[in-house]
Parts: sequence; C-alpha cells; structure tokens
Amino acid sequence: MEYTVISNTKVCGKVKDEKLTKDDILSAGGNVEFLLASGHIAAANVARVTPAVKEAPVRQQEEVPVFNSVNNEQGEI
Amino acid sequence: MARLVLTNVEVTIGAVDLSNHIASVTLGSTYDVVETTAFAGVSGAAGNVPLAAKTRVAGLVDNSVTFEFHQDFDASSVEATIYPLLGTVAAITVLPVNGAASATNPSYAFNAVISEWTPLNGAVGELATASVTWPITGPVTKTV
Repeated sequence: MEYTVISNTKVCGKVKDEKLTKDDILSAGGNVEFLLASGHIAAANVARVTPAVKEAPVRQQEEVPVFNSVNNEQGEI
Repeated sequence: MARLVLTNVEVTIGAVDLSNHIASVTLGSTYDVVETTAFAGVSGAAGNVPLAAKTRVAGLVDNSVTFEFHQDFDASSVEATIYPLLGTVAAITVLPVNGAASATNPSYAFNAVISEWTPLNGAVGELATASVTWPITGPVTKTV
C-alpha cells in the first residue's frame, strides 16, 4: 500500500506530494491510521473511479390529445 | 570539537517532522542511585573505599523529554498532530542537526507517553506556545 504526503510538514522525511509505503511509516515509528486521520497522508494507489454515464433512452414523444379548455371535452377547437 | 549552536534541530513525533514549530528541546536521563553500603564496606576492608563512606550503584534510568511548541491550529500542523496522540505512546526522534545521523550528529530515538498538552497558553500580544514534559517509556536509542 502506498501513501502520498498531503501535509505541509515532513512525514518520514518525505515532503508534500512524495510517496511512501507502509514499511517506511512503520520503520519511522509512525502509525498509518493516525497519519491518515490527522491529515498527513492519503492513500496513493486508489484508482479514482468515474462512474460511466449511460445515455438515457430517447423517449418517443407521444401525441398529446387536445382538450377543449372550456368544457374539458376532446373536440374541435 | 566544535561547539554547537542549536539552529536546526530535527524533531519528529509519530514520524511527523514538527521541527519548524519547536523552539526548545531538552532530552534528559536520570538514574536512580541505589545505596549499597554494608558493614564490610564501612569497615574499610574493601580496597579504596574510605572508612564510614556510603557506597552506591546506579539503578533504573528515568528518561524524559521537554519541548516548547509554537501552537498552530492549521490542518496537519501542531494541534492536529499532538492532540490525537494524547494519552498514547508516540515514537520520537531528535537530532542536533537536521540530516543524517552520524558520529557528530547522533540520533536519539525513544517512545514517550504523551501525558500532557496545553492547547492554548499565552497572554495578550504573546505567541501561543505549549511547554510539555513527557516521560519516556523504555530506553533511549542513540544512533551514530
């Protein structure tokens, strides 16, 4: 598992945007959960999933019956 | 041997480098002194031991570290790093000069109990600081 330094402070000797492994963190006496929770590192190799957008089926327009606005009956206008 | 003016001490707490927010560091070790005076020693029978003098040996060592922090509430800075560690044991390393450990720049590594914290301390117009003394659990490992 790889992590990226996201804080402005050095973590395990790495600066912001540099990557480190779980072993790097453990050998430096760090705790992965703590560093994640306190905003020092973020998981690096999690692929960003963009949901596929499906094209909505084209609905055929139905013929709308015309109603007489006065007596609400279908008929001639 | 050159004297050293401290300007660039490296301090990492839980693998996070907080050197740029620490103004003072004191790493100390004190041994208990255990008295071993016995009748035979007081009698002067044991070589160089003077008459009626107490004898002692070193007992358990008590290590502690003291820091003066400049408080900072920014994301992933001092408060965000130390506050979650309160009441836990954290790995700490201290080097006289930021860089690689060597014979002239030894690294001291230890585990400290984060037993106290002062999130807010200071008077009007003063810098917000936090002075803490944390007891060390276990030995201090010196790497050269």
